[in-house]
Amino acid sequence: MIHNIFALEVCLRLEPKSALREQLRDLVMRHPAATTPGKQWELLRRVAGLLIENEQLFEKGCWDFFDDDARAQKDYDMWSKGMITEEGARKVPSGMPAGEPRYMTFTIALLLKGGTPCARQMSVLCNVREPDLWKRETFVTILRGLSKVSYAAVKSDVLYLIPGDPDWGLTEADLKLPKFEYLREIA
Amino acid sequence: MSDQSDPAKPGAEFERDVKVEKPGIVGARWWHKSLMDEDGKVQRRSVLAGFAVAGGVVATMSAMGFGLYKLMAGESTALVPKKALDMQRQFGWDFGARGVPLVFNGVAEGPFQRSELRMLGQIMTPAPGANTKYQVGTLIESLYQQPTTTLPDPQDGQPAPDSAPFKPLADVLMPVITPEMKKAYAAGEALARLTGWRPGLAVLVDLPGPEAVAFAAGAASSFEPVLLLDNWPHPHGVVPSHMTLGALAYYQPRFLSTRERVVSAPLFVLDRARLSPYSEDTNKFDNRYYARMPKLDMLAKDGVRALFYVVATPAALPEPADLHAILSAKQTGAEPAVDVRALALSEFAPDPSVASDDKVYYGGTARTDAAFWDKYPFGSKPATTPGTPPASVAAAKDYQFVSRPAIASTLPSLGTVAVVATASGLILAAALDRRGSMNRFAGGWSG
Repeated sequence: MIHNIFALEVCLRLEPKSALREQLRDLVMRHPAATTPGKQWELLRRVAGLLIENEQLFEKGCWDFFDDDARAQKDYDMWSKGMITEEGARKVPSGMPAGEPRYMTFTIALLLKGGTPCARQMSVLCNVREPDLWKRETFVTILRGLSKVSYAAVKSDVLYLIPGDPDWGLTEADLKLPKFEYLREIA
Repeated sequence: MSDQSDPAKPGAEFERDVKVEKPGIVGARWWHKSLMDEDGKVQRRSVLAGFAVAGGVVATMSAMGFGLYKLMAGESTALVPKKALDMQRQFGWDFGARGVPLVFNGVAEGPFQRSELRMLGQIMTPAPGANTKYQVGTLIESLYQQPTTTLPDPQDGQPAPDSAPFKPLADVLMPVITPEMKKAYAAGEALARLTGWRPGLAVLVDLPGPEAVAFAAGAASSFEPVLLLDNWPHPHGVVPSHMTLGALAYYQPRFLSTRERVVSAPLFVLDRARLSPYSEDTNKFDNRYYARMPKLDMLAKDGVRALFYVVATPAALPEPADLHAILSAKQTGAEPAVDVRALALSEFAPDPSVASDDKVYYGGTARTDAAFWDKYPFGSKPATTPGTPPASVAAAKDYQFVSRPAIASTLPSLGTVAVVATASGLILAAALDRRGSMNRFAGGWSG
């Protein structure tokens, strides 16, 4: 099987009054361990919908689509390890002191079966002009496009959220660490 | 809507193989069974076994994982070395010893608000600046970590190992204060008084963990603590690092009150017990580690020109093997070299002629204390003749950090523990009590 990969990570301001983090957490953590393509598609659609509704909170992000099999498998492993090794997560709470911004990230990675209509559709969706790569509209367009994903062609998906608890939000200093260099400012 | 012209299979299902639920991160991964079956190269079994071995072993064994375990019931088992810290992160800080209490010597009296421990990590994190990059706060991370998975049930009908309810370390930690810590605190205070805000200084404290923390607390008005504590406590730990954590808890208010500093000269905190002797024949848990002390060239770039290496007594010299290469390294950077001098805690004592307070003085008198910088004229060489350093020195100030004959600085097995695992990498139990665990599992599952 030839694999393709789609991945998107967005970094948002963690607003104390916003229910976004809690909603995203609930969606992912309450999703069943054994599920169907339809339910998996519904999870992705709802997650993407929540992110789109909160596009004003987007600060940084990145996204990828590769149709190279080796790259796809390697990158999917890398995105998965981002969750498994808790690489981006803080090791200690940061609290929510007044006046100090906090941030959250949400990551979506899909390992796709290459050569399928779904993979071709994702390829078209992600064919974005260079000047538009890091624009807010582009992120929103791609998130909207995820509703077209067919889970019949998704071999695996991984979804994760940083932080799990509100007191463990990322700080500005965290986002300046080398491990977050891949996140670019969203214009 | 979903594009159903793709190769859909009726009844095809997704199964979750990893679920992470931590304060810092939550998430999950699912696999499409029919597509995995379709792909002969990636069988479900090898994928899961591979993750268990290579993926940091954080995967929660889901229904799919349990299936895997059953599948492997006929496999042979073996004792396999694993990194102790990895096992603790996956199965809990008390891996293999759930329910065995930690023993705290010198439990502090007085009020203790356990909920305040949540702030300990933040308080001990250096303020943004040069010192941040050096911090190794692994020990503090242990406080609230939850296991990400559990050990499978043995087939002899007995309860699974570590099946007792898990308690986070923060729920059982006690603040400690011992007479030795009080002495170390006073010495730290004395050093801070002597150095004031003199620029270009740094300190490396290499004392038993609780004393190292106490020294850092005493010196905290002039020096910013930078932890180099790279392990987790364990009920059977070779390194009693729960005591170090207890000392941090005791001095938490002190560290909080001294965070606003004019200068941020680093004071590196090391636990001398990190390389304690250990025999694999015992039932101890090897939570030892090597110091991750920054190189002198790096410190020089941060403006450090002089480093005090603090030990308990001159007899604690020479420095352990994991520091030798760093402290005696020939410095080749563009910046002026960092001059390293040893300083012993035993050289601080109260002045018998001053009965007014608990102060300690370098050399034990106010007069010798006043001559401290004469004894430590950074930039000049120690008084003893260069060459092979003496086997022992009467005063730490005379010790020379020079290259010594090669000492084995790394042990491959340091910080590893034996576990019972299948050939495919599924971990079945800790093997602290080797014979017992091995017999129990091998009896049921070996073919």
